[in-house]
Amino acid sequence: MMRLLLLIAGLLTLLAVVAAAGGGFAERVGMPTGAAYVGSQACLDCHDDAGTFYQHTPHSVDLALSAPVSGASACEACHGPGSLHVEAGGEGPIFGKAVLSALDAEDRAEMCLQCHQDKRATWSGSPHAGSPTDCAACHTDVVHGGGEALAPSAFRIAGEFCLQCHAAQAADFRLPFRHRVLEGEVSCQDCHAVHGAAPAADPLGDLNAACLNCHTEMAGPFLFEHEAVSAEDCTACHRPHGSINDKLLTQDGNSLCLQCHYEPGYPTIGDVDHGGFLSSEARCYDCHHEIHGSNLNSTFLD
Amino acid sequence: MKNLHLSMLTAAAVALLAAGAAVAGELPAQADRIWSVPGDHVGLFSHATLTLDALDSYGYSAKAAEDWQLTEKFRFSSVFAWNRNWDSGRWLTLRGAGEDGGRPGGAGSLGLWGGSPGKFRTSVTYRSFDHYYDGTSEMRSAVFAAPPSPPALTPTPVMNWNRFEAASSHRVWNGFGLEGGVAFTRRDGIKGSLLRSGAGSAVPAQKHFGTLDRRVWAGGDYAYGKLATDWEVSYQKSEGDRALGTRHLTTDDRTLWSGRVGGALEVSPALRLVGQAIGSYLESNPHETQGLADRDITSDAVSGTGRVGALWTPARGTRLDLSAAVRNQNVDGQVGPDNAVVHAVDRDRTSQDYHAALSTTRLPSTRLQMSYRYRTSDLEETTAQDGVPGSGTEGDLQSTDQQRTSQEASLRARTRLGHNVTLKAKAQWRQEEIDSADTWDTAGGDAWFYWMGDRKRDKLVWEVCLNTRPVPGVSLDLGHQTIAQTFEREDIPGVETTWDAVRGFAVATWAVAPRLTLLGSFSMGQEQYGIDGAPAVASDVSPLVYDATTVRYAPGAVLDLGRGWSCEGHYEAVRTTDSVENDLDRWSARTSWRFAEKLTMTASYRRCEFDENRWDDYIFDLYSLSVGGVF
Repeated sequence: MMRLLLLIAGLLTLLAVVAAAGGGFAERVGMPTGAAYVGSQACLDCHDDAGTFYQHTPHSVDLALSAPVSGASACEACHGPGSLHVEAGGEGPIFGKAVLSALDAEDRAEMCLQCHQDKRATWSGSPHAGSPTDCAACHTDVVHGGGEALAPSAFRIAGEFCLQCHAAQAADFRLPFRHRVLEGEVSCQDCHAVHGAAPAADPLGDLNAACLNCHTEMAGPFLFEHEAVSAEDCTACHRPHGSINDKLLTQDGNSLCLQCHYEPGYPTIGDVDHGGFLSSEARCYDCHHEIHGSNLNSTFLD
Repeated sequence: MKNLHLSMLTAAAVALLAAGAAVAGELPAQADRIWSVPGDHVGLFSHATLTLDALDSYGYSAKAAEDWQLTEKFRFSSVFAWNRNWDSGRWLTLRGAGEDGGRPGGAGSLGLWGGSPGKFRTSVTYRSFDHYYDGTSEMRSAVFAAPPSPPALTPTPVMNWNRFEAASSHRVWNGFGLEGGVAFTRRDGIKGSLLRSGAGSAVPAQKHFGTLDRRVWAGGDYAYGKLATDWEVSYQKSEGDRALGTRHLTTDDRTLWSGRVGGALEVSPALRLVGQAIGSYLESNPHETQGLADRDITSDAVSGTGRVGALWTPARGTRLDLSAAVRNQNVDGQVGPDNAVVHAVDRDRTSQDYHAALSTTRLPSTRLQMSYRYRTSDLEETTAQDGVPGSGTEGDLQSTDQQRTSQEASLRARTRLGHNVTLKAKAQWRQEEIDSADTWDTAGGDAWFYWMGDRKRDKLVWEVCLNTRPVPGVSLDLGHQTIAQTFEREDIPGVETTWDAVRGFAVATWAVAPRLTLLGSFSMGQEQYGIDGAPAVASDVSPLVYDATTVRYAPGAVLDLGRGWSCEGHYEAVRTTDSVENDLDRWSARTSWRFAEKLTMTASYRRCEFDENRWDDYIFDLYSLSVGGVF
């Protein structure tokens, strides 16, 4: 036991030493030799247009913010240490537009993550990580030189912001059965963590957790599980954005169930002759209604 | 009548465009937001708009209510925003939308956001919306064609969703932050269900909800040098009553505790290690009454997840991500008290997930991403009657021993073919194999309940998308997706089902003149679910295969007439063919006049026709007049 504690203490000490060694975006990109941080005010002497842009943003120079590791000022956190640039009258090295736009997506994200540490642990697993969609592509209201998209804060309906790029989903939200994003009732962020998310605490897994957060009655745990829910996920049967079918089902009719449950002796399934139940366009879930799981009936009958 | 109406609208649109072209000037067109309500704005400036809607509806009102949540002849609605920035950097935004239709108190949303950059951020949001249901939507079949119509549900089922959330985060000092929040979701009312019990043309039963979910969470993050950590604990409680008609009543009592801790360490500029651990304890003790059964259920689930990963950049423009995750879940549940167990389950599920992803931008103007994921999951489950498994008192029992293995490989590519042409493509293959066997010990010698044996699923997805700007002022995006899936029952030789989907879209924008923009989108999809060797079925039996085609096209135009006048018109059609054929047509025409420096009047006309040649057809015309101000 003592050895284990010593080992853990040693690892934590090593971790602290490595962590304390510091580092930052400028070092990662390649800090100009001999350059030092001079503060944002020196930048505004020439770049007053940038100061005006940022005046009422979280990156305002007036807020005197600095990056946690490097201590860089608001401008230099992204553009690198500016002493050589200033001394040369604006001709010296700096991470200007050409340098920053040539960075790959990970390095551009790192530029923001050096301060926005709360996103660091999950960003690498987010759907936007590694894609050309970096932070500035969405947060155009707080970063100059951002993308063409309007900023999230400019929309009354939060989901509209995402639909600027996700046109296919915009069309889905116009189908007869849909989650009411365009009506403002739910937003994309109710289900999606755009900055990435830690693995779900819900026992049924990451994808189901997004659905079961609201539809809690389907979360169980049930004594009798339906594998389509517990071992696959809700999208096995549902199209969450929109569908032409009631209850957002992927298809309309018994073929939805028969995709997995068809047997050559149909309408006998599982040693039960269903012939007598299937007239008048009866659907499987007309009787097997507790299809997400049941505590009382092993075949989900109701 | 429909054709006459269409012709009139087309003529009006042509006349409008011709007039607009004559006075076209330098102002840009508005963004394409054909779903937005009259007077709604995009932007951070403060504004408020009051709108009067008049609805003229014909046909099956329940279906129209389900589609559009419109039930009232007249209603007032409003959208507003108030934004304030102080010199100190503090800011406050209030946004909302509401209407007085439907239930007393109306429906809508209200949100308040505020903060001080780098210090704190707080948000409070409230949303209350009514969902109306056409209780006959499930009966989409030619068997139930009109006339005669089935018994209508009176009144139209409606369920209210109430959501409240308050969250706040505070940066205590550089590198250390705290956050927390509370959220409530209340459901109250009636919704349609799918349960018909196969009783001819009887309409499905209704579901009743009176539930409340509450969630409280607290978390934080801490960064020290190259180490960043974050954690969160949360508590969620779900309570309330649910009923399916009068035949199944449930009282929910569900509690979920969860905790998470994560960390990221930047070992070097080229290597970062990340890790997370999550644990949860879920307890669910519902009471259910179904037919003659009146049962107390006790169940709990204990789960734990651990994930570690490495993000390595061996060379500029190349990155390799490796991760591994392990998840375990143990479920124990029983129906009935300890001294009179009806049946009980003991379920253990353990899974591993390994993932490797390589991305590179080393090729000129090209990005390549390759990914491979391997997952395994083991399930051991025993369900017993008359006692808890292993207690010695159980009667019949059935056990499942299952191993799931899945592999997923994908390749994504994005390349700039020219200055204004970008090509994106994705190919994804997934294979899942399930080895499953049930054993049982029953008095009759037969399996207690239905089970499935070994099976296998293969799925291939192929996507390609072309983004072009062929000439100045024109954008054209084209996309295509193909999905091919086979599902094979290895325990029953010769059983194979298929799913094939082909989807495509085109979106075009043409700035014809500085004041005139034409918009258009077209999409289609075909879904086919097949079963090899499926027998023919009687005419009143739901088909064993599914073949659906959906076509959607939506042209539109936005025109700025100058002097404060602007006009826009859109048409949208959705054509669906599956169990039945239906046409959904929507028109909208909107004109705005800025009659004072900060005041605008907007008039709009919207029409929707749903045509299925059955009892649920409807037409509605919605006339709106609004006055809005920007201040």
